[in-house]
Amino acid sequence: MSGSSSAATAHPDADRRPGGPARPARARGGGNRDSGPGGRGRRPRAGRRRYGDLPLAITFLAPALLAAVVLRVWPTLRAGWDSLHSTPLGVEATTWVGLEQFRTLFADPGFLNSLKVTAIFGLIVNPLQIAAALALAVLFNQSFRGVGLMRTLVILPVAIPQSVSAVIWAIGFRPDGPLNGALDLVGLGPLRYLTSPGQALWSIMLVVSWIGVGYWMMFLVAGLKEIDPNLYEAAALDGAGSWQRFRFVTVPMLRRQIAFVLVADTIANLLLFAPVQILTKGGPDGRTDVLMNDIFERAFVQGDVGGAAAGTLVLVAIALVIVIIQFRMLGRGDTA
Amino acid sequence: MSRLRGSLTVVLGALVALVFVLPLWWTVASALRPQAETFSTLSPVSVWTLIPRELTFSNFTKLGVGDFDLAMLNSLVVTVATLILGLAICATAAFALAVLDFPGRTAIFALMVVSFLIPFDAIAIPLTSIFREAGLQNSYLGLILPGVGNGFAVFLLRGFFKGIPEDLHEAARLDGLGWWGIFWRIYLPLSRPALIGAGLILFVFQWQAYLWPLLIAPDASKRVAPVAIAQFASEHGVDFGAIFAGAVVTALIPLLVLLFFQRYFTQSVAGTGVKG
Amino acid sequence: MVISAAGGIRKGAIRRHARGGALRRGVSLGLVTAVAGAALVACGGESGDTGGGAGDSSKATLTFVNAQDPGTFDKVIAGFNKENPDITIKQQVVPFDDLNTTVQSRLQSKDPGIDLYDVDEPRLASFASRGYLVDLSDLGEQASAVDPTALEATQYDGKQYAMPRWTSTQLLYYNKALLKKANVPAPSSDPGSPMTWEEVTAAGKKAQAAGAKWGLTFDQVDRYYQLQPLPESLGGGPGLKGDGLLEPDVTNDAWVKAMTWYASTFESGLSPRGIAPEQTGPLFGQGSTAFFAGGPWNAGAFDEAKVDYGVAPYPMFEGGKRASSTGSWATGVSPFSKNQDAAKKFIAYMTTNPTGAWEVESTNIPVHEDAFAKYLARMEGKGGVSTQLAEVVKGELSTSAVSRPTTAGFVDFETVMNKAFADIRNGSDPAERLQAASTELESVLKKYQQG
Repeated sequence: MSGSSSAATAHPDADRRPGGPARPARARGGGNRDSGPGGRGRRPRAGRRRYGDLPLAITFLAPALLAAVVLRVWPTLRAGWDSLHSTPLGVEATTWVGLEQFRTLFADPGFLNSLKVTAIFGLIVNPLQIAAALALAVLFNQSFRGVGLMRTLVILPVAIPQSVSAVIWAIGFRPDGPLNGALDLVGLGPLRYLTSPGQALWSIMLVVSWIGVGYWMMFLVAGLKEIDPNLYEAAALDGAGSWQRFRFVTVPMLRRQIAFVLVADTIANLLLFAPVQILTKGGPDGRTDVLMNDIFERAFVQGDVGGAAAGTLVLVAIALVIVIIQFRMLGRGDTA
Repeated sequence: MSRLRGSLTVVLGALVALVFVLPLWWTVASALRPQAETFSTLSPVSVWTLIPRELTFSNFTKLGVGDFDLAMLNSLVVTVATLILGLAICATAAFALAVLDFPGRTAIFALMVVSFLIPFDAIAIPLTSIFREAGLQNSYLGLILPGVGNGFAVFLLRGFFKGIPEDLHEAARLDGLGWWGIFWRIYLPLSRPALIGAGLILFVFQWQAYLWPLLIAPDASKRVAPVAIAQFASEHGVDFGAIFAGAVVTALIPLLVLLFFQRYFTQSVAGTGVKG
Repeated sequence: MVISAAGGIRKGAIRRHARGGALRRGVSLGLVTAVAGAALVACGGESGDTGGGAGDSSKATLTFVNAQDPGTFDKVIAGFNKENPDITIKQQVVPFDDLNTTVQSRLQSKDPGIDLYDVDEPRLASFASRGYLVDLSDLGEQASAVDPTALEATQYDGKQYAMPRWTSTQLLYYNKALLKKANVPAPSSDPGSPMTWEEVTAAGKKAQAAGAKWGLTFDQVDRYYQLQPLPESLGGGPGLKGDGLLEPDVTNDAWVKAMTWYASTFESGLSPRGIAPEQTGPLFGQGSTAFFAGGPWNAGAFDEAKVDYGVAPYPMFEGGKRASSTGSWATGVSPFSKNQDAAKKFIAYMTTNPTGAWEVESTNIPVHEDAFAKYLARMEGKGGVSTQLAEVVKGELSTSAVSRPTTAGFVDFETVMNKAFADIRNGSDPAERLQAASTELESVLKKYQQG
C-alpha cells in the first residue's frame, strides 16, 4: 500500500518521457517484494515469446474468466438449449421443437416490429448521445469555477434508480405537465410525448439520454485529461483554429475513448428496456417496443421460456455482428 | 477576447448543468413538500413548481418506517464489495489481455466481449437456479457476484493498458521487477482515470440493480435501495413523496463520491507522455 | 491505485455506515487478492438463513410472499401464532408491480423458498394450469362463510386452488363543488339507480365548461380490470369465448361500441391522455376532475386531500345492463414448498376463521361474511359519505359484479388487451385496433388449445 501510494503521489513530478529511467528506478527503490522468484523477471523477453506467459496469465485471468463463463456465457448456452424446446405451460416436461421457436419468432409481426424499432432507436440515439457526450466532455474539460460541480450534476441522473427516473419523466410528460408548461411560456403548442405514435420514441430517447449522456461524457473527460497540452500549443502555433484543433488533435488523441464509448453505448442502448417497460410498455402502436422489451415480456410476463430464450439469442447475435463491424471499422490496432 | 470566451464557457456550462439538474431539483423540491402540492403546482409552471411552499420532512421520516436505512446499507455493502472485488478481477484480467503474451489471448478477449453483449436480465431466470443450488439465495454474495466480472470494465482497462508503452515494463523487468510488481507499481498507478471509469461501470451496474435482487434476495433483510423505493408504490396508490425522498437519499451518496473524485480529474495526468 | 480509490470510498461511506467490521478489515490488508478474499469471507459470513426447512408441519418456518402494505398481516400472524406457536411466518414483501413477475419466475425455476403466496385472482387459472398451485379443495369445503362468488373465482377445473381473502368493486365518485358550479344535479347514491355513461359524458362536459379541468377519469386507465365492465354492460362479454375461454371475442358490436365511447372521452378532451394510472387519484384529489371511476380504497386519499366528494353506483350504458369490476387477492400454496400442511393451516386461519379473517388490516373488502359485516358496520358508523359508500358497495357487490374470465390464457389475454386499450386511448381507430388485438390473441392463445 505504501509503495503504491507513494508512486501515485510522486508520479506527476516524475520524468514524463516514454521509458524514462525515473519510474523503474522508483519501483526498484520501493522494494522487490512483488517480483517473481529469482531470475524469472530477468529472463530476456524474446525467449518467452513462443511459450508465452501462460501460467501467469491463467492466474491473472482466472477470476474474470470464471465470472464471465459461469455468470454470463453458461446461462446463455442454457438459453440456447431452452430455445430448441417448448414448455408452453411452464413446469411440465419439455419437448424438443428444433428451430420451431425461431420460426415462430420470425413469423410474429410483434417480434419483427421490435427489430425495426430497435434499429431505428439505435441509429438515432447512438450518434446523438455520442456527439452530445463529446460536446459536453470538451465543454467540461476546461477549467473554470464550479466545473467539478457542474460535471457531477450532469452525471448524477445515472445514480437515480431507473424506476424513479421513469416516474419523474412520466410526470414531466403529462399533458398538463411542466414540459408542456415550459413550451407554453415560449408560445409553443403542447406536445403529446408518450401518447403519440410519432413522438413516443423520441421521448424515450430524451429520457435515456438524460440518464446516459453524462455517464458517457465521464469516460471522454478522462481521455481528454490525458492529451498533452503541448499538442494544442503546437497546433495553435501552426495557426489551427479551435475547430481544427478539435478535429486534428482532440479526436485522434481521443480515439480509444471514443471507440470504447461507441461500443459500450451501442450495446447499452441495444439492451435497454427499463424506461420503456415502465413508461410505455412498448406502445403506442408498438412504436417503442424495443427488442429487449419484447424479450422481457416473453420471459417475465408471459412465462414463455423458449420464446424468450430464442429472442435472447437473436439479440446476442445482433450485438455480436454490430460489435464485429465496429471493431473492423475502428481498425484492429487500437481496440481489438 | 479570451476573457469573453471564458465567461461564455462558464455560462454555457452552467446552462447545460441546469438543464440536467432541473428534473432532479424538482424531485428534491417534491420530496420536501406534501404530495398534493407537488401535483397542484405542475401547471401552470411557476417558481412554485420548483420551490416548496409548505416545507415538510414527513416524506423522509416515512423512509424510516419502510426499513429504508437497512436497504440503503445493503446497497452500499453490495456496491462497495462489488467495486473492490470487481476492480481487482477486471484489472488483473485486463492486464493479462493487454500485456502478457500467451496462446489463446484473442479467444479469451473475444469471450470477454461476448460476455458484455449478453442481456443480463434475460438470463436471470436460469441463473437464479444456479445460485439457489449454490445456497446463495438471500445472501450478500448472491447479490455481489453478478456484478464483479464486468466485460465492459475489462474492455476499458485493457484498452488503457495497451496504451502504456512496452518500454516501460521492459525496463522494469530488466531491473528485476516481476509481472505482479509491474502490474501493481507501474500499470495501476498510471491508470487512475481508467480505474475510475471502470469503477463507475461497476458502480452503476449494482446501484441500479433491480430485477436480480428481486429474484435472488427477496428477504427484507437483504432488500436493496431501488427495491425499497418501489415498495412505496402499492396496490391502491403511490406515495410519490416517499419515492422522491428515497431517490434523493439514493443519489446523495454517489453525489458525494463523484464530487470527491472530481479531484482526480482536475489533477490532470496529461502530459505524462506515456500515452505516446 | 485500487487501494487508494477503495480507501476513498471507505472513508466516505463505509466507515460511517457499515455495522460489520469484516469488510473494513479487508480493505486495510492492502493486497488486491487479500481484499478480494476478505470481502468474500465477509459476505459469505453474513449470508445467513436460506429459507426452506424440514417438513414437520408442527414446527416450521413459512415464507409468505405478498405485495401488501407493511403491517397488513401483522395482526393475523400474531393471532395465528397464539394457537400455533411452532409455526413461524416470515413475509417477503415484493413491490406491487413486480409480484406476478417475480413469483412466476421463481416458481418456474421450482424455488422451494416460497411456501405460500398471494395470487391475483384472474391469474389463478394460469398458475394452476402450469402447476404452480396446490389443490386446496379441502379448505374450500370448510369455507361455508366465504362469499361463494369469490370461492368460485378461485376455482379452476373444479378444484379450489387458492383461498380468497378480499374482493373489490367500482363506484363513481363526483366532485360536489364542480358539479354545483355547472348546475349539474349530484348523481343519486341509491344503489338501484346508476347514471348512464352517456349522462356522465354530458355532465362532465358541462362541468368542464364551468371550469373543471377534466370531466371524467378512470382510476386504472388502460387496464382490463377497469374496462371490462364497459363491453359487459353492452352485452359484449368478457372478450373470450369457446372451450376454456381461449378464443378471442373482442370484435363484436358491443366491444367496438364500448371502445369507441372510451376513445371519444379522450378525443373530446373529457379525459386526459398521458396520465399514468397512479396519478389519476391525485388528480381528483386536487379537485381537477368532475367524475372519477374508482374503487372504495380511493376514499381514504380523497378524505386526506379534503376534496368534497360524493359516491354513486357504477354507471352503465344506456339500454345496457349493470356491470362493475370485482375480484381481488387470494392466497395459495406452492407445490415446491416443504411445509405445505403448515401453510394450509395458516391460510385456513386467515380465510375461514372469523377471527382471522377480520385480523387482516386492509382497505379492501373482506369476503368472509362476518368480516364483511364488520367492514360495512365500521363504514356506516363513520357517517356522512362513508355511510353512502357502504350502501353503494353493498349494492354493487350483490347486483353488478362481473368477474374476470377464468382461463389459463388470461395473462396473455390481459397483456394484449391492455396494450390495445392504451393505443385506443392514444387515438388508434377502435375497430381496427380491436381487430388487430383479436388476430394477436389467436396466435398467443394457440398454445393453450393444444393440451
